[in-house]
Amino acid sequence: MKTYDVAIAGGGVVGCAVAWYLAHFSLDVLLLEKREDVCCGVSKANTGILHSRSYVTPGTLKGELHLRSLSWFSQAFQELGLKPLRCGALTLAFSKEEAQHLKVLQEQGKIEGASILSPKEVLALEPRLNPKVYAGYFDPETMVISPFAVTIALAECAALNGVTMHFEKEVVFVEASWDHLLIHCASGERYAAKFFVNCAGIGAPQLAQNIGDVIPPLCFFRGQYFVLDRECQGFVSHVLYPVPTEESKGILVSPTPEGNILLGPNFEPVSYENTATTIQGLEEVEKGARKLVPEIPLDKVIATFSGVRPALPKRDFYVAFSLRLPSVLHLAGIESPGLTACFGIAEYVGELLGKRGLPLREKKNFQSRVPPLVFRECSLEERERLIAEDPDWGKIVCRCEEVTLAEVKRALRSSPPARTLDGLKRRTRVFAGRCQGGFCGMHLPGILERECGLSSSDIRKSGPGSFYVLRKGEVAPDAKVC
Amino acid sequence: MPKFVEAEVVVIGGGPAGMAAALSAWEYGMRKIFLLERNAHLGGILNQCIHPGFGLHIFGEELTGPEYAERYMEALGRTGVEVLTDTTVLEVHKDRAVVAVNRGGIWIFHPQAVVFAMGCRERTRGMIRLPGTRPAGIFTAGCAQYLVNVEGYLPGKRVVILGSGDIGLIMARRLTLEGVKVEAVVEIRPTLSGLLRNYVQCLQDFHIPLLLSHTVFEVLGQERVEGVLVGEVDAKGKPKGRLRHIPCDTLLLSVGLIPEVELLKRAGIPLCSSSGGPFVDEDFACDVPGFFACGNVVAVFDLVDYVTRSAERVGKRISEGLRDEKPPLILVPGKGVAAIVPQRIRERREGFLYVRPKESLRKAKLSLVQQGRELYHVSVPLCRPGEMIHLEISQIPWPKERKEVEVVLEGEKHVDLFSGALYCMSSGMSD
Amino acid sequence: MISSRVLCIVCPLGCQIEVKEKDGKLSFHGGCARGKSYAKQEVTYPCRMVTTTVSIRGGEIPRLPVRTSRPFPKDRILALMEFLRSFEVEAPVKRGEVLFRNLLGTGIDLIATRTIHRLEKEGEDSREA
Ligand SMILES: Cc1cc2nc3c(=O)[nH]c(=O)nc-3n(C[C@H](O)[C@H](O)[C@H](O)COP(=O)(O)OP(=O)(O)OC[C@H]3O[C@@H](n4cnc5c(N)ncnc54)[C@H](O)[C@@H]3O)c2cc1C
Ligand SMILES: Cc1cc2nc3c(=O)[nH]c(=O)nc-3n(C[C@H](O)[C@H](O)[C@H](O)COP(=O)(O)OP(=O)(O)OC[C@H]3O[C@@H](n4cnc5c(N)ncnc54)[C@H](O)[C@@H]3O)c2cc1C
Ligand code: SF4
Repeated sequence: MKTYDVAIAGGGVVGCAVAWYLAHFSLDVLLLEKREDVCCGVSKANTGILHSRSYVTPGTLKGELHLRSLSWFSQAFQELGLKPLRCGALTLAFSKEEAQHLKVLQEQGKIEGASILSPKEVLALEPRLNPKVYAGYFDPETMVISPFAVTIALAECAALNGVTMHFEKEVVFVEASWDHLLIHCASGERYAAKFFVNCAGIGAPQLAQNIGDVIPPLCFFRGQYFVLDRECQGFVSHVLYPVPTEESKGILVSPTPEGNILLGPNFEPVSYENTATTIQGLEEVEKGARKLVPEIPLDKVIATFSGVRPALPKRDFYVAFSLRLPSVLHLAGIESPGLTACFGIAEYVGELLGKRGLPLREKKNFQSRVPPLVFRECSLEERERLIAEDPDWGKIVCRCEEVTLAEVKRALRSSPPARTLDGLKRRTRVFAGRCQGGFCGMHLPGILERECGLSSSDIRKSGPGSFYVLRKGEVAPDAKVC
Repeated sequence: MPKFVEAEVVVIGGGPAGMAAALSAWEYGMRKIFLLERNAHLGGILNQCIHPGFGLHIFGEELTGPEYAERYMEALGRTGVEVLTDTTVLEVHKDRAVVAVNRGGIWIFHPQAVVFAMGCRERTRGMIRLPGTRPAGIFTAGCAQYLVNVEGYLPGKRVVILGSGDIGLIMARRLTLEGVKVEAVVEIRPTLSGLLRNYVQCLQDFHIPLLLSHTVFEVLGQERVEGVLVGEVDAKGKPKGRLRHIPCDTLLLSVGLIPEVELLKRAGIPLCSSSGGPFVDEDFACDVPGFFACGNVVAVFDLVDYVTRSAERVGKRISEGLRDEKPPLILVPGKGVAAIVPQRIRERREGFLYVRPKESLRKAKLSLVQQGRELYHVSVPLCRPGEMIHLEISQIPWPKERKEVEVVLEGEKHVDLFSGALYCMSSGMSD
Repeated sequence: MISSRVLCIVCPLGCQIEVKEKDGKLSFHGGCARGKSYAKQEVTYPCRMVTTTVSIRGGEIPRLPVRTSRPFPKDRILALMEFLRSFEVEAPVKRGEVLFRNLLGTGIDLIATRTIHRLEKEGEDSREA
């Protein structure tokens, strides 16, 4: 059995960032993910805000890693081929008391170009804001990015630089054996590694417990969202925050790099990882969003979703070595701003492992990821050239987001590959447009079968039970005619 | 470089509207006509509508969708209209440049007339804000219809259908015949949306329960749909009474259609908020000269015959070229009217005026009113929102004055057979 | 005496017609003349046009839409569906072609409602404008 230098459990943004960071060094790295793809956990359903220095929580590990991560941004985005939307943010106060808080944010951030604005100035920047606004804090550093894009780019860049990834491998137990660790998966496989990093997100405390460590149990806070049609692009042009509370950053109105507008999240305790949306929750989001932008076009909603924050009671990140096995590192409670902080978390994990003896020798031939071409973003000339090379660039399979067959095929071949319709959606934006699969959902199964060599039973939305369609004959008739 | 193509007419969309428009342009002497269709075959939505019910007005016989479509395909084959299938139009510019893509590359057409005939699309789960989880197994009814009738898949084994529109009813029968168990059709309004005939032949025939004044309050299931919570609603649409769990693995949504107007928006064509499509006159010319729209992109017509008729009007006008238009007479929907097509009248001689009622009425009067003065009226014994009323434009004494004309429908509220919140088991109706 | 109600679908009014049977004789209450004759058909020998799809080998698309040549006896529709489950044709097929005669002994035929060509070999598409 091959002994890896490091094995990571969890293919969320944190696990993938750790894999990507370690891929910079001459190491054998293994990533084990319980689900069929990366980005199936908390990392798939969040606001996608890259929070600025003003939103660093002082005196916490969360704040420290958040700050560290910010200094990674330019290198990371270049290596990963990512383009965040540099839109800046406005935090809006609706009373004198709230306005006090804006000063705190400004003080906290000390960001060049940031300023506190009068209602007139705020409305000049965002004319559709609630005119009752009392004051606003403008922060040019805040950015928005697609959370799928980050996680998938990290995974692809890690794979490109030699990280091995296995899916549908749930780590259930880790034990010491001679000079290495034996990692047991639910499906029976075992892997050997010198170090193990538990990035299992919501599954982290359970895994720690199986190993014999104690992490306080997580609390779950759900956040629900509306996604508005791309048609609304430009309705607002900054991330709009209310004044944050102790609990959360509040219900935002935010543009996205794809041109949609996102409303949410609310903050509601739930007893388990329950990602259903509810009438009450969505009403709360609507109210929150309308407080900032009264005329927000809610008739342009194309989708609703929710995410669950896995928080520790102290509301801080937990990163600590196991008390039982000294080469096992646990991460838990990675709630917001876990996406923003992922590069800092990864570097910190690398340092901690280094201190315990992991040799960190930088690779000379680290390769940056070349992002896949997106038909919708290409000029007519580029499109013409692409189609001449491969006619599949001329076959549109998603009418709303103008995704081509070539992009779908590339996503199926990429490493790690899309293995489900959700995986395709996160890589290409099929199913993500205004018709929500009304068009691609009818044509894709046939195309996948005929042109991509899949069989209908391989076509799933996500996990093993999520079959998309059945073949005729798979159903037993039991009807009666009267 | 993209390829530039000179053309007289470009028709976007090869459904019944697009085919009839291209044919009519050919008949009126246009010669460089391109018909662009993004699917592999012409026919549009008709290819998946394998049930009968098409062509009674035009052919005087009841055809299935594919039969109706093929008659037009054959007619097109006898003309010199150039048909490009597997070709998607990406954008249309204000100067009438049409940018399309297919496996041969990027094409830029520059015609004298552009005809929009892209049909409509279905309202989605997001638009009706249906709460719950997001598992596999939620389809729009038309999407399921394509998967079943064209590709030969089945969407699941146990189905609940939300919405009692015709597509939902027809899918209830179709799936039942294929061995799928349809648990119920759930309709939020107190009346059936589709045709009575479809209720009888699609639900009653197979004992499929119809739950009026009910809706789905939550979708359950992690990976695949495991059930839905259904309950009664009051007049305001708020839940009333206990929710009932219906186990199922599939939810079909038949909750309405909307014109597919994205291309028109980019081209700057003015749109009508009540029909969802562009403003058109009786020749289906848009408010911007050189642009036409016909079929379901204008308004969702109930019958394909109306769609064909709308499209047949464009050829003559196109052949007359760009001309200086007099300002038209403007029609607006008034009391009791959900939408009208056309919303502008110019020549006042030919064509039809289509009126969609807001609610079911009996002993109704449809009138045209200008500045409080009634110009014309007809009596309508019975009307329902699911069936458009059509009037011949030539029958109406149009006024000289160019002031707005209101179209008004008044009558007694018609309590449909299925009104009220009844749990309507078909066996109770036919013994 | 047996009675039943028929919902008339001949015109949009949708009358309910009560049908009574006494000593083998039917009587109709409600509805107009056309409605009554429809009701008679519904209680004596209800029939429906059946449309469905069947498998097609070697065609451009995997399913061929079909219909019955005349309305088919309602009580035998499911038997017909069962029969068609294993029914397969070979492309090409022309619209209007009779695919099967005398379905289940009813004298009713199965008709193709779409023309389906044989699948052409690779590389032939609408590449040129
Ligand atoms: C509503 C909401 C809004 C947010 N907004 C923002 C924001 O705007 N900006 C920001 O910076 N952050 C935001 N966050 C926080 C951010 O989303 C999370 O911090 C981050 O995604 C956590 O990533 P993760 O990798 O730890 O978790 P996950 O993405 O959940 O990854 C854990 C992975 O481990 C796998 N796994 C579990 N158990 C096992 C096992 N035993 N073996 C193998 N694999 C296992 C899971 O399948 C999963 O893929 C938000 C969070 C929420 C919920
Ligand atoms: C599910 C369903 C069931 C129906 N049942 C009945 C019935 O029983 N009886 C009846 O009389 N009527 C029925 N109708 C109504 C009738 O069939 C439709 O009104 C009619 O088909 C609409 O014709 P159309 O040409 O406007 O649109 P479609 O038939 O939708 O055609 C539009 C075409 O445009 C193409 N297109 C769209 N965008 C582009 C683009 N950007 N580039 C290139 N091509 C594009 C599409 O692929 C499509 O082929 C039904 C409609 C639906 C949706
Ligand atoms: S009985 Fe006559 S009036 Fe009544 S629905 Fe039938 S056809 Fe119409």
